[in-house]
Amino acid sequence: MNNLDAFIGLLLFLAGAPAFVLQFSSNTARDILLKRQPFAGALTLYGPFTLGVIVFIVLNSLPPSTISESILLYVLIALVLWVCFRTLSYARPTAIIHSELQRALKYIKLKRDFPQIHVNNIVDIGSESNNSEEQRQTLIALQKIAQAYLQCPTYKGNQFEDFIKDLQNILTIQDQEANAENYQIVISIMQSIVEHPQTHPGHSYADQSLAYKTLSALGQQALHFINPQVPILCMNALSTHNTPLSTAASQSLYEIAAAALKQDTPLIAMNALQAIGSAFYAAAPNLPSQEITFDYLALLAAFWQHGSSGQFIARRDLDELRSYPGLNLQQQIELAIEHQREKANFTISDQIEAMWLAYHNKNQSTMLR
Amino acid sequence: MPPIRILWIEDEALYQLNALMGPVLYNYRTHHIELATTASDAQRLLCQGEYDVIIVDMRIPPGEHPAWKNIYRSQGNDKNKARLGAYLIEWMVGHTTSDQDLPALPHPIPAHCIAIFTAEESKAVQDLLNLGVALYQPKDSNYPDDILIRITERVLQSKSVPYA
Repeated sequence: MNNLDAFIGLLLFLAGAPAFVLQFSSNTARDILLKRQPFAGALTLYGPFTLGVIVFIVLNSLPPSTISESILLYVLIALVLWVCFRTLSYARPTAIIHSELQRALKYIKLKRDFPQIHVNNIVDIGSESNNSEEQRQTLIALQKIAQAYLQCPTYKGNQFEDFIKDLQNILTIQDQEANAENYQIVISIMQSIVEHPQTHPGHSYADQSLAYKTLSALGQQALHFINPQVPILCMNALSTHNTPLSTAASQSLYEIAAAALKQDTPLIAMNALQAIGSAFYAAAPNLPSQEITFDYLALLAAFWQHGSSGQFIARRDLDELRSYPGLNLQQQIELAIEHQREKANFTISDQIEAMWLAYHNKNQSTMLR
Repeated sequence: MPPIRILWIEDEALYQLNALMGPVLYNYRTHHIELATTASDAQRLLCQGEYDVIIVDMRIPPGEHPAWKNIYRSQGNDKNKARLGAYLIEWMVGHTTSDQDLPALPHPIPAHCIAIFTAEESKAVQDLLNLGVALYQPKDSNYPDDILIRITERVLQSKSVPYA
């Protein structure tokens, strides 16, 4: 063989590329390539070298000819190019995320099951990274997986518990304003879960319930951001159009609003007041659900604690509530206080009581005058 | 009386312009506002709900929907040049000029329910006003904080007066 040195050089490059990849990749990436998916990892890393050696041996065993040398040359160059553009890219975490995403989507399509292994791999890479762009890629990949699995007929409403916790963990790694875009992706995933139609008999509401709580937690976490974008997006996701406001959504809206008032960001609380208040009046002329009434009163009580402007808004709404057809406001207040006490929300029950005493006393003194 | 339902399509609604939300939220028993920060969001909300007044900015990002992304891309990935708000209005009133596969609205939206609130000059939106859009409000340095309520009132008044 005339060009033996060149061929051996190319083969050595193919043999050395995996070492290069492993040298520069993170511990998680190495773990994924070598241990968690040993077959796929070995094929990615050592496949081109193995194929190159086989072709080299086969063609070397044939009688020497320019044709066989040309074939070997083209095959080795093709493998080198493949390694340069494909295998070496595995030194970058985003390439592994992309590859795991494709495998996960394929898994959902073929097995109609949740691709837990691939999700774990993507989550581990995202959690390990300090790079905002890599985290964004991780969350986008997880969003695509969630959307694909929500379309799957085998989805039963209770398979996202760990997944949702993983999403929250990734967000908390970089809890800062620059990360608002990552919050938006997670909010969008939660919205997909809460809006998912419960079509199957016996469908579980576990994921939906957790998604509501997560939206509440994310909204509260993001209250210290300069812009109110994230908390308001959480609220928009909670008061989605597809369904009437659920009691879980109302509770989450209240939680964000109460926290917002504590942090002196009343615009966010006003947003929740619009959502809960509108849900309350949407039931007219019937009485709204008790839970929504309780959350509405609790929110007014939180406003009451927020200075004279907050008290003005609460008084305005209480005045209007008194004229709601068929609603005994005093009785509802008493029920709301009892409800909050039963849930061990003593601060909230005390706030409702304080609001009512002050409101009621002022009304009585006005009447006496 | 149910509140007036307002949809505000504005990507800056939660940034520089968030103070404009305050007066509407304060009057939530008479005015119910919802926000869309992208063309895809607006499309989703318009397909799900009904609104009395829709206030549209011209320069909005596309969001996730492939059709809006394609329009955006074809206009150079620049929201100022793409003017997705204009495409959105055309789509709302059923005069879409885009060849993209946009979903049909469950109910057509009368142009006189739509207002344009934008930094663009009036001549740049003249073609939309010719479609029957109720009014154009420039985003200059002179508008009051309750501008959204004022726009809403003017749109509702204009419903009874044909656009000239």
